[in-house]
Amino acid sequence: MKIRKKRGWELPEKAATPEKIYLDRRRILAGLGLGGAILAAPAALRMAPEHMRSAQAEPEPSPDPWADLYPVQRNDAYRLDRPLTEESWATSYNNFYEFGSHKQIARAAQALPVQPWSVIIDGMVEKEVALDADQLIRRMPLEERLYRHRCVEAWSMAVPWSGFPLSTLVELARPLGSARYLRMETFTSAEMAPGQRQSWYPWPYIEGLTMAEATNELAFIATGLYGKPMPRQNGAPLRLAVPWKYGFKSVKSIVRFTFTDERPVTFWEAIQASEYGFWANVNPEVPHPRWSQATERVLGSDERVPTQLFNGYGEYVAHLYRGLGGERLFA
Amino acid sequence: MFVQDAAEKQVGANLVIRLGRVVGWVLVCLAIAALGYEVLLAATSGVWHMVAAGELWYVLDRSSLNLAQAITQRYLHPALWDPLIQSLLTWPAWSLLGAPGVALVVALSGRRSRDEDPEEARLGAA
Repeated sequence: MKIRKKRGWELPEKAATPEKIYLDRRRILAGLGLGGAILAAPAALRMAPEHMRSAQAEPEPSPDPWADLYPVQRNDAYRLDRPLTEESWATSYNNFYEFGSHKQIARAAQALPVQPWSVIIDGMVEKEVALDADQLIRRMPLEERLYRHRCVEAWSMAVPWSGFPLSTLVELARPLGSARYLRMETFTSAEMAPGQRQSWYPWPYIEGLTMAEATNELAFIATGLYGKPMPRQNGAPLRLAVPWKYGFKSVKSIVRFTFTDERPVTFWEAIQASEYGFWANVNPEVPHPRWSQATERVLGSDERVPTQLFNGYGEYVAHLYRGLGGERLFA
Repeated sequence: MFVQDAAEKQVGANLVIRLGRVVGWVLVCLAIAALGYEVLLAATSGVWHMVAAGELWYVLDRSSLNLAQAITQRYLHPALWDPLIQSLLTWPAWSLLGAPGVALVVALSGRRSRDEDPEEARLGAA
């Protein structure tokens, strides 16, 4: 008799809302609420939390060059143990240090020019290339994945990323056998991103993964969110999503992938290695020096839920860290 | 009673003046040290490089700099840091420290505290 053990992150099939119904329900609610919303809008805007107000006040960004690509087919292998976070939260409560240390950076991030956007693949590869992001995104096998996202600040969200597995980009790059790490770098533009005018910080934002991590099936390059192209404040046009690690590892707005045999010194590691290390795997039992990581606040609710080891993705990634006992894997 | 109140107020004022002078001189000393650091860097690298206040803070204690920004932007107001404090931090460290230091020393140098003035001290005691 086959005994099937339910994984920590799995929802029962019956509990998952089909996308069509989910979207229809939103349309119905939107239709029902429209009349009242028009009447109540001015008062509601005054009462809305700051993050909502900033989202509502955002200017419309220029038309997105990838709008025709989305929504994409969902990969049902990746499911959630909680409802999806409201889109308004996920797109208005953002960390993007290039635009500031606060959460309301969505408006400022609209200054990010996503086209043209060049992506360089270099270092220990058969052939270094510079690709246009449009060229790159359109040649990749796009899919949607539902991932939990756990911030080192002890909040979390659950979002539908669209994009492609990082392993396909690694295949495209054809790294040499001697490459041990993948270093990812974001843009540098102090004129556009006010945070980068603080020249004392080690810009650009650098992140890194081992080759084993980069080719793990969970490692994902996200190019879209909620069935739409990636909003600028969430890291357009392409960003990393590694859900078993704290959110700061998921570098936004990537311009360079470098294959190397040296472990990259990441942006946060250079600033405060004791708090934000290279590995940064989620572990509820290893507290941040100033707060506990045992629980997390679910964005958009008052609920706190227990944090899981590797953010609940241990079955996929725990094996990557066997034999690395001497490393600070959880900071 | 009136004389006693006046004397207590004078003691408080003297303390503030003295404290202001100490802070002023400390800032002036720090400004000189910052300028010295800038000169030292120029001498070793052969290139003059203006050391911004933020850069000096980063070198001395990057953790507190980062924390100060987070607290200011998240709990006070984003604009308080950027553009206000951030702009100040791009100034040369010696000028950001030296300007208020010199201002305090100069402003308070003409104000002698009562214990430093034998005549006023004598009248106060009466």
